[in-house]
Parts: sequence; C-alpha cells; structure tokens
Amino acid sequence: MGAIKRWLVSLVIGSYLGSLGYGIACHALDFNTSAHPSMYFVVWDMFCGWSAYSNRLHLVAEGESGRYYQVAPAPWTSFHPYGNLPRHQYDPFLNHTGTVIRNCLEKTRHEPIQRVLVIEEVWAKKYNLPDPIWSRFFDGPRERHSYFQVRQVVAPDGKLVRKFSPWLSRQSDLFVSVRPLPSFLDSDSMKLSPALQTTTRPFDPSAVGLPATVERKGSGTLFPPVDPQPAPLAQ
Amino acid sequence: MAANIPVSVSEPPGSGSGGRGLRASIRDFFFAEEVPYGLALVRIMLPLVLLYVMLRRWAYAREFYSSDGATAPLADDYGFRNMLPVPSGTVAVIMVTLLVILLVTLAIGWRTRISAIGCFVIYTHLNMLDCLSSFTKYSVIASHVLLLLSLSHCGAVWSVDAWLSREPGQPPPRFAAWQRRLMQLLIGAIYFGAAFTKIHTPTFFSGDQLRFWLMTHINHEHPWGEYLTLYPVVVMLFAYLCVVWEILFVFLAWRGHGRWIMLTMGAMFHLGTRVFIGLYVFPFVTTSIYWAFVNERDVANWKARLARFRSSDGSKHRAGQGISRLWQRRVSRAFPAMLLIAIVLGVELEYRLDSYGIRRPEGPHELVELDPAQVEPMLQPAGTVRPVDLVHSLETGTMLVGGHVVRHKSSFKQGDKLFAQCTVIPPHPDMVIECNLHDADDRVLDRVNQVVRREAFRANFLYVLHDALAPGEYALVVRCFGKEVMRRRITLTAHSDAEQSADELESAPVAN
Repeated sequence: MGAIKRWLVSLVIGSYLGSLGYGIACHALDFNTSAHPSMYFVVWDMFCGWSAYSNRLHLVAEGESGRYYQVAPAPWTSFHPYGNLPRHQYDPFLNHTGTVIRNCLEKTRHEPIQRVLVIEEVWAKKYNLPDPIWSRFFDGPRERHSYFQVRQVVAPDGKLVRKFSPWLSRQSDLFVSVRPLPSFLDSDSMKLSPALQTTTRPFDPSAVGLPATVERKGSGTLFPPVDPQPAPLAQ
Repeated sequence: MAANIPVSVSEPPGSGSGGRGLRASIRDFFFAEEVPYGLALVRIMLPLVLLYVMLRRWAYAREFYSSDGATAPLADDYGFRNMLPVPSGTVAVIMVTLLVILLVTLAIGWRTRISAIGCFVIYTHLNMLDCLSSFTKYSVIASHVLLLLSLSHCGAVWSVDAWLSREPGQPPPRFAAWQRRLMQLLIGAIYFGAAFTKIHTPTFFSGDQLRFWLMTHINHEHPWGEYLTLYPVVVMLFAYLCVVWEILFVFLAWRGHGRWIMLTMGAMFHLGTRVFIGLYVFPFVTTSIYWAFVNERDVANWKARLARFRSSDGSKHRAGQGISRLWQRRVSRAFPAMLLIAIVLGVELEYRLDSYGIRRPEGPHELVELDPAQVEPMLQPAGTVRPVDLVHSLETGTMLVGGHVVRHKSSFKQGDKLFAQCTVIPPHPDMVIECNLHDADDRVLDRVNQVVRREAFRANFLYVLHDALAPGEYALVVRCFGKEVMRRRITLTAHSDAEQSADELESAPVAN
C-alpha cells in the first residue's frame, strides 16, 4: 500500500473510530445526543426508557354529519412493521400524525371531515399477561380498564390545531402537586370556536356566513398558525 | 491439508511476536494482509436479512418513502425539517426496486463494490425518510456495515466477481484487514454504548425495567418473556450478566477463549431478545456481522476438517474450472441491463398492484366508519388512575433476594415466615398501603400498613404465621385509598408434633 493511500486509510480509520468514540462519550455524559439526526447513528441507546403502561393511538375523523371514521390504519393496508401493530403506533412523540392523516384522507372517499382526533389509550401492562400467568399473580378475574386522552386535534389537511400532554404525564403532575390542578379538559370544551371551525374546512368560509377572523400569515391557508383559545394549563 | 498461514497475519497484536512497539502493533492490527473471508461472510449474510426487510416494504414504497405518501423523516424528530430530499412516488419505487436487486447482487458478490455502495446510499436514505416503520437501530447498524463493506474487498472471495476474475489454481488475493477491524470495533462500540444506556437507567438493575419490557406488546409475541416475569430474580441476574458482557466484549472478543465465549454469549443474548422480547430482525442483523470475527486460520481449520471428512467419505474434490473470457465479458455487461429491466418491471408491477386502491373499478377505498358507542368513551374525561391500577401484584413467598420475594407459595405451615410483596405501578403518589390478614369468613385478623413513597416500587410485609393461627384458609387483602385492590388466598397447615416440640419461638406479633 503506498504511503499516500495508507495516510488516507488512516484518516478514514481515525475519523470512523473518532465518530464512534464521540457518540459513546456524548451518550455517557448525556451531551448533544439529540443535537443532530446524525447522532442517531453513533448513540446506542436501545431500550433507554420504559413505562408500566401500554398505549395505543386511535386516529378518529369526525365528519360533518357527526359520524366517526377510522383514519389509521388506512383501509388499503394491513402492514405491521415489527409485530402485530400498524405503522402509526410507532410514533411516540406524535410528530408524524398529521402526515399520516393527510395521506389517508387524500387517498380515500369520504364525506367532508371536520377534524381528526388523535386519542391515546393507556392501560396498565399487567393486563397484558396471558391467562396462565395472570392466575399465578392474581386470584380474581382480569378486567382491563383503559384510560383515554385526546392528544391532538388535527385539521383534515394534516395541520396541528391543538395538542395536549400525555395522560401519564398528567398523572405524574397530579401525584406531586400540592395544590389541585385545573380540571382536565373534557370533550365538550374541546369544541372549536365558530371562527376556528370554519377554518378547519377546505372550502370558502363566506359560504357559511362566518368569515375567518384569524390573521393569515401568508401561508395561503385560512388555518390559523396559533390557536387563539388559551391552552389548558395541564392535562 | 491445513493451509500454512503466518501467525502474525490477521491476529491481534501481541500474539507471539514480542518486543514490538505499540505503533507497530496497531499498524499490524489494521494493515496486516489477509484473505477477506470474514468480510465475505458478512457480505453474504447481512444482505439476505435486509432483503427480507425490504421485500416486505417494497409494495409500500410509495406510501413510506415518497411525497405521494406519508413519510416520517427522522430529521423531523430532531427539529431538522426538509433535511433530506423526498422522492416522488415513481422514483421511490425505483429506489426500493434497485435496493432489492442490489442486495441480491451484493449477497452473491456480483459487481460487489457498486452493489455495496448502492445498498448503503439507498438503504440509508430511504430509512431516514421513514422512522415509523423502517428506521430503527438495526437499520443504523446495517448502514454502518454496508458502508464498511463498500470500502472493502469483500467480493474478492466466495463471489461471482471472484469466479469471473480468477484464473484456475490462482490463490485468493490478500488485502489489509482494516475494514474488518473497524467492523469488529463497531460491534464492540455498540455493546459498550448499550451498557451506558443501562447504567443510566436505575431501574434496569432492579429488574423493573426488564420486567415491564417483558410485558410490552409492541414487537412480536413472546410468551416466554411473559413467563419470565414470574421470576424477577432471574431477570435481575440476566440484567447484570448483560451489562458485564457488553462492557467486556470489546476487550475480550479478539482471540483465544475470550473470542468464542464472547461471541457465544452474544448469540445467546440475541436469541434471548428473540424469545423473551419478540425481536425478529435485530438478532439476525447483529449475528450476521459476527462473521467479521472469522479469520484465515478459522477458514483453514474448516477446510481441513472438510477435507478429512471428504477423504474418509471416499469422494474426491475437483478443482474449480474457470469460464471463458467471452462469457466473463458477457456476464459483466449483463449487470446494468439487468438493473434496467428490474427497474422497469418493478415500476410496472407497482403500478398494477395499485397499493392505494385508487384505480379500483369501484373507486378509492372508503374510510371505515366507527361505531359511535366505541368512540364516545374515548372522548370522556380520562380521570385519574384507579387505585387498583396503582398495584401491579401481590406475591407471597418465604425469602427475599435482591428485594424480590422468592420461593413463591400459597400454602404455608405454622411457624413459617411469609413475605408478602406488593409491587406498585409507577407513577404513583406517596401513599399508604395496607396488607391485612383476613380469615376464611373475611374477618380482619390483623391490619398492617406502610407508607410507600412515590419513588418506591415495592412494599414488603412480613407475617410470622405462629400457631396462634389455626390451620385453614386465609386471605391477604391489599387496600389503598380506602379501597380493596387485591386479594390473595393462602392456606395454613399445621406443623408436625416433632417440629412443635422443638419450636422455641415466642408468640411474636403476627406481622411487622
């Protein structure tokens, strides 16, 4: 191997090992681990967290007629990437629900959709135990109870309207809060203001006599960039 | 007949040639020449695993990887929007089709370097566009390995390229070992980093994290994992073994007994993730790159054993025959033509499959309507967690090990010590938990409570079942926030007269 080639190879070796070492050092010191997507290639944080609760996402579209529709999994697919769950269940931070919703609504036939609710279902993992194991732990029957929490309200075009904290985070806050926290926002108070309601629909708001009053930010859409209603303090 | 392999080649530094400096050892470690058997094995195994992964996703290329679908770029999660270009639907189909073909050509070693580079670029790009259903840590590991393969001469042996280029009787070529070394160090770095993850998780060593992972249903089914939750001490032992192995791997996996011990433990560890957690692809990806630890001496030993077996079998090995130069040229030129044909066929097939169902005779799919009775409960206020969901289990046994009750039993003798362990589910508040003893008629015989702080996972209650308790059926009842949340039946039997006469226990309180 010529000298120049050996120097180049040494540079490659040093760079590669240096990047691996940087990743390990950052991970050990909890520094810059989320600074850039490239860190995902050098930080080995498999199984870094855990929860005693299982959760599932329900993407429910509400039509103008008041009917509800399943948005995910989409009607054309039954793909399970890693087990028995569809793709949208592997979105822990709910960063991609808007894209999934938009794509499904674009590719399907349906009545005009008013809004899409992203609902989280949570239950204690002990209810996942199969019957033989359950009977070793417990004497009584299994009665799984799920807790539901609306996490996001999304417009039909995939834009996020409102978002709420996870149910589990809310419970953690309640457990340590000295003073009572504001009550949890229920479904009634989740109704949008009339002005906002018009902006969630992809048609001319003047047709219903309610011109949109929110300020347009030049995005070409009537949809407000910021929800004028005050967000709840905690969920 | 064993091949005559120099000792210093492809062996770690310090193995039999003493008196060299560190610089020379490092130079030999990376640049000693060898026949790239180990890389060839990785080149064959890893693409086959990735082929399974990508074939499953080929029909969904438009949905997962294109602007005509629902991409989920990893960069978005990091706050870097539009970092990578998102291809159109047809281009995404072309890319996935190309990737599938290149994985096959890489596995068989045809135009190996081009195949490896193509696989690395396309596989990494597409995976970064879909962090929901494509990109995980095994994809990251595969990308690393594909990069190293593309820098290597992994197609020099056991490949179509080798068959085309080599003359009969010509020995296999030798190259510097640095790519294989980097692959080995990558494996060590992965395990070392994973150990830090576990060290950062306090509940890993108490067994709680693993125990709840065994009950998690986001991967494939794993009934053995659920069964293992009955034995938290075993889970805890596995946790410690795992961390020790991960830390020691990069230091011991190079030669001698350490090599085969570390690799065997690794294979068992990954088999364990398959059996107990339900991971399917990750174990195959990681064990496929274990072949990077194969060196020339191993291959020579295998060949020697194979030769002995064939000699004893009476069969004779025929030397390979070369092919004519005409056919060599024809096969080489077939590569781009083959890619082009595959792309055209792939695009046409995907169009005809119509994954979205838009071109169906009856039109696009309709949204599935949900029963309002199913939806309305979802829209009700979630409320706070029920007391019964604050408690995971009540286990009874006779001993505590590592904070977990062991020797589980529900039938005890008079004089036994009963450990009742109430495991709680986080998050929970600071609370008072009662574990009361009831008789067969549900009368409270003893009331005991403990304060369980919010950071605690377990509350232990010790009952000494002295002979003031008559043999019969009893129940341990757990209460919190004024409600009964759990009940376990126990049976108390009399101990023999011989034991009673030797018994010097005072009539101690029933429980602490």
